Amino acid sequence: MKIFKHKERIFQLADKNMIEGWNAEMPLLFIGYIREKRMSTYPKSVQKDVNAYLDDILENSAIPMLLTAINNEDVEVRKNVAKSIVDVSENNPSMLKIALNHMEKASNDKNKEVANTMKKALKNYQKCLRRLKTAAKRKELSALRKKMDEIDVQFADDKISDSDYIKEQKNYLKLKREIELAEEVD
Amino acid sequence: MAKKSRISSKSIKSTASKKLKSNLTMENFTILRSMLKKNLQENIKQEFVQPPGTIQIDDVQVEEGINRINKLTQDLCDSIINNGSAILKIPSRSNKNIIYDKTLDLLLLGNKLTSKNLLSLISVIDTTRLMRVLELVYELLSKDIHATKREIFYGDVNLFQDQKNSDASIEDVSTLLKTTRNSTHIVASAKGTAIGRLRIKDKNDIIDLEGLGSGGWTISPMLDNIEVLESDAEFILVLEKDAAMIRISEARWWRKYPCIILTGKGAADMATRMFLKRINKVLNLPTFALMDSDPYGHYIFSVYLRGSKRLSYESPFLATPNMHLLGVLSKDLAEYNIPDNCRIPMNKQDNKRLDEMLNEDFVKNNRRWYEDLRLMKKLKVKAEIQALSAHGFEFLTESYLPNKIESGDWI
Repeated sequence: MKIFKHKERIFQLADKNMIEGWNAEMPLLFIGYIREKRMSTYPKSVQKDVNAYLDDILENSAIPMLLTAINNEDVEVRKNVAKSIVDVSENNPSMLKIALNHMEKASNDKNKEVANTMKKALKNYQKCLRRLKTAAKRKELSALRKKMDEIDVQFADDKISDSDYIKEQKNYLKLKREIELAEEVD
Repeated sequence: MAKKSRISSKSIKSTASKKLKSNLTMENFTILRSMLKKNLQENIKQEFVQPPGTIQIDDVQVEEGINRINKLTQDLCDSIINNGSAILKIPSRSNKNIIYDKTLDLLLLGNKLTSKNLLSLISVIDTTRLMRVLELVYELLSKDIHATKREIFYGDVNLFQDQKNSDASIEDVSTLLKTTRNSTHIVASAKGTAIGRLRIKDKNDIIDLEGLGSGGWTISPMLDNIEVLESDAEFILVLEKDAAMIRISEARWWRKYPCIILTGKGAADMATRMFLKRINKVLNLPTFALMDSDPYGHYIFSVYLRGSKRLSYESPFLATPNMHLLGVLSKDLAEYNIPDNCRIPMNKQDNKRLDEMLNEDFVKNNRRWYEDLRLMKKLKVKAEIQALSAHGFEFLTESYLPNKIESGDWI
């Protein structure tokens, strides 16, 4: 294990030897997991060291391992890595961000099954991105709705003009429609 | 069953024989922390050196498992063709062939062999069963899947007749191939659970043992798929019983005291022991056990510590020799003022097991352990972990465990 210390506390992460024995896509998942879920729990000084360590793994282990598997001459190896990436894209799509370029390349693989599987993974990733965007828009819409409630009151009290009211309402309905359309696509 | 104390927890606390410290934090655990520091400095990954006169068992990957089966069958065929004999030589699993190695502090399998002749009427059933299990193991490894011992029995009910027979053949196959049973992909249903500051991977799934609710993670018997990813724990606590686990997990104890907690829910199964061994070896964390203060609790601890006689061939992969018994010690009954009505008189079976324990070389070899068992014999009483709750439900998590760890009071 790779050990990081802060005062009396210790933080142990899988070391390079362990990581290099994993499936090709696992190191990327590991890096994504630590950055997304664990990093904020570490003290600042440890965060810096862990980030440097993860960058090193990404550059020297994760990407080379993925590239070796994706470019392997044995089509079965390529099929397996493609299948694993689809699994990841279904369960933890956001963690594939760092592998995107390599996945796009592999979606043009000469083997149809590998190419199609990788396209499916990319599609899942795009879907995930859209969902994230929609979620952000929903938040925006909810804030806008609150604002509209106030505007409704002001309009009833004749405190704003018809044209201003219509303008505000148009903005609100436009965003609402955008969200509905995005959800229909999914 | 022990009668519950009717005395109020306040009145008992005030009469406790030992003055207990309150609000202890990790900063107070200086003995534990220096132990952890030493463990990490030494990085106790000393190579396991097989003692002479014992059988070497390996934990192997699928490919190597298949290679070993192929070699075994090839050698057998060669022997039949060349000299007409079809004899399998299997390491004996009898008590006489189990050796306690003082240096490693482990129970190991000696190198005495038993012969099974495929052409003999006496052993024909045994060898047929053994070859059938070998065939099933080959199938499991080729498909890279796992099966339970029960499934193996149902793989050929007419041949095995009773699960005892298929279980014996499974152990024979492991020793014959000189591999752990885990390497044969035959697993026993696991009952142990773990919770706390640990992140692991199960194939491509990442599991956070802090985020699985109060129940924790059910230890997977397919440990070849499991690997440690990350941990900020500073020690491991093994509990004999699920009741103690419930108390500790409800208190979210690992949040205040960064640790990994696991229980085998009584006598620990192979997966639980192997998982403990794995995390202890990988993370180099000080490891403690909390057992009932009775001969059976001490026996369960001994199995975690040195391995069982039945599975002595796997001891290097199952035993955790650097583990400590934190409690409940016989001397704790007085020190922590366990009320008389929570102490249970020992029965005939307890006394028998206690005498057996006192006769074990590994107990005699550990002075403090030996003396605590002698005290138990003298007191003629036992107590469960739950007896501590006579001082209040939170006594275990807020007083007993922190005080024991802070004072370094363990065996």
